[in-house]
Amino acid sequence: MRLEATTETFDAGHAAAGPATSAEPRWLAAIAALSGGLNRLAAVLAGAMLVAMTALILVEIGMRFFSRSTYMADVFGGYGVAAITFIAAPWALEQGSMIRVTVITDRLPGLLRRLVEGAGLVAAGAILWFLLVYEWSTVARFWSRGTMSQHFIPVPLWIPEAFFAAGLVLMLLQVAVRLLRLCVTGRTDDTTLSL
Amino acid sequence: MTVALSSAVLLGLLVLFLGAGIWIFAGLMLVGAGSMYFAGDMPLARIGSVATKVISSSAISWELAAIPIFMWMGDIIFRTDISQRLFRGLAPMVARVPGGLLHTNVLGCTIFAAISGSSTATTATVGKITIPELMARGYDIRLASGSLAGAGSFGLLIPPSIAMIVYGVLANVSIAKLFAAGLMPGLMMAALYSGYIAICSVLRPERAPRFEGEVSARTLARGLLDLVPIMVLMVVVLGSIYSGIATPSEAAAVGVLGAVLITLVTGQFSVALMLDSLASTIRVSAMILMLIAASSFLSAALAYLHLPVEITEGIAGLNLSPYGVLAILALLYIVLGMFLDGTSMTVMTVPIAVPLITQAGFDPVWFGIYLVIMIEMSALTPPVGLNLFILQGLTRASTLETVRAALPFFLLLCLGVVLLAVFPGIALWLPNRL
Repeated sequence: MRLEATTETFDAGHAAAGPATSAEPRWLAAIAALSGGLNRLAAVLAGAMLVAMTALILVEIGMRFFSRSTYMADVFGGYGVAAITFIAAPWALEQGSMIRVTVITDRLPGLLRRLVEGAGLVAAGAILWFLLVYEWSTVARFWSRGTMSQHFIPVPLWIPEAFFAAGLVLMLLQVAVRLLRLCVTGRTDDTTLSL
Repeated sequence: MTVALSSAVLLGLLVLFLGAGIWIFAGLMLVGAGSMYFAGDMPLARIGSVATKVISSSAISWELAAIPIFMWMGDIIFRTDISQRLFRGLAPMVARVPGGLLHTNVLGCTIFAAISGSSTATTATVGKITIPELMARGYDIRLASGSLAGAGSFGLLIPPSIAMIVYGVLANVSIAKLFAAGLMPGLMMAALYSGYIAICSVLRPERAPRFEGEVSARTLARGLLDLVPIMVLMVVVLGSIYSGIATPSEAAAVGVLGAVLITLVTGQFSVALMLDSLASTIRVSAMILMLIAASSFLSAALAYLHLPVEITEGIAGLNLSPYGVLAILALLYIVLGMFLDGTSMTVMTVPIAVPLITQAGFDPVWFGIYLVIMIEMSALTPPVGLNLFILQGLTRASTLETVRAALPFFLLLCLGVVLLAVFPGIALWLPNRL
């Protein structure tokens, strides 16, 4: 795991997006920009959901003083945290915030290191693809049957599942960008990790 | 397939994937799917439907909502003038004690930990001001950085604590009880650290220059005033959980409101601050929550292979004493901690470790505290120790020097674990009274 956790990087994580360099062909830079743009959009949505979730909990606590309830704070809180997890994950991946162990790969010589990094990306892409295939069929099934949750306010079940599927798609796209970049430029770019 | 063989397949896959530098969450999912396929002879379609179902339902959790919300609260406060406030408030109080301003590290971390759930945030926030101040005043750099490395890890031990929420959700243990159980061990560790600093300074006075002047009552009062906002936030958040008024997620939301109010009252509120804190929170929570979701799938895969039960029975068959089991786990955690961060360690070991220690007669709440101290140790052990990295960033010292500085405090943590094992009441007294 590589870290440069000085106090500067500690709060500068969002500034360190995987940048397109001049050595990168234009088509690759375009795909990288698409992936980065979609990831940021998803992250903004996740941020908005965190704000909404916090506000909903505060409203629920406020209503308690008047012996009333939204009856939904815990349910939406649960769905909210799942949505945040899945749609913010691609951005975290792009930013290098997803933890990995690089003690060994850092010590490998150039070509071997690129091969190992490449194999790692293929394996990560494979498991994400595998999950997407089955998750997609879940979303499609809930959609076509119109399955609803058993709550006070019923929620169509395809919605929470769609967040998971969307996160998988965006993560796959980011893995593809990294893999292409590795093949074309030989660069294994992982930005700093900050906790 | 026998237990030994399936365990070997699983361990082999784990070492292979993590060693190759695959993101840990993806590695855990690969190990889960791989062990179901190779060791469990399950068809891919079945693995796929189990995996997506478990991952998606594990993330839909009201308890987990506490993680991003607590992180947000801590992150807002982190971006204010908290570091300066803590130092200004605490320095006059400890100036004349043996060890002097070195105690601002320990006390600062103890206080900040009570409004933050992360040990890296605690180390960075307190160290940002104490390290330059201590270096400028001629304090021994090893004591200064070592005590910060050790005390920074209170972020996880003193509630609120992200590690305790992760453990509580995975092991099905009350998070409120865990929060209560961490308080006394946290204060005990603070006392051990401060005691060590005082003894060192008495034995070798050149390591901590004594402050000879008088501290006026006015300076003291002003310092206390600086600490008031943090203290109020601490009482509101922890008080609402301990008194049973609020669940941890609710207390976290109230904490965010409190943190925003503090920025407003102290004139530090800005839209940029809120957006930055939100961005940082989203990024780190996504990492932690993905790890939890991935590990739920790995746990499900282990359960399909009956591994937790079989391994627990196997170790029970060895007739180890309960302390023997703890010692083996401690060794395992110290080795894992050299390479992994706390959340990864927790999610990977809880499915096996919890049945094991329950069988050995330990309270799962108590074990949560034991695990958190093990995670704190992992932040101090090279080659991968999060607090060491932050310290190096602050002091610009070499890795070896930083490790040497942290070593006494690592040993004090070991002493803390032994005390906790011999006197479990240190952790369990408070939760049993709530």
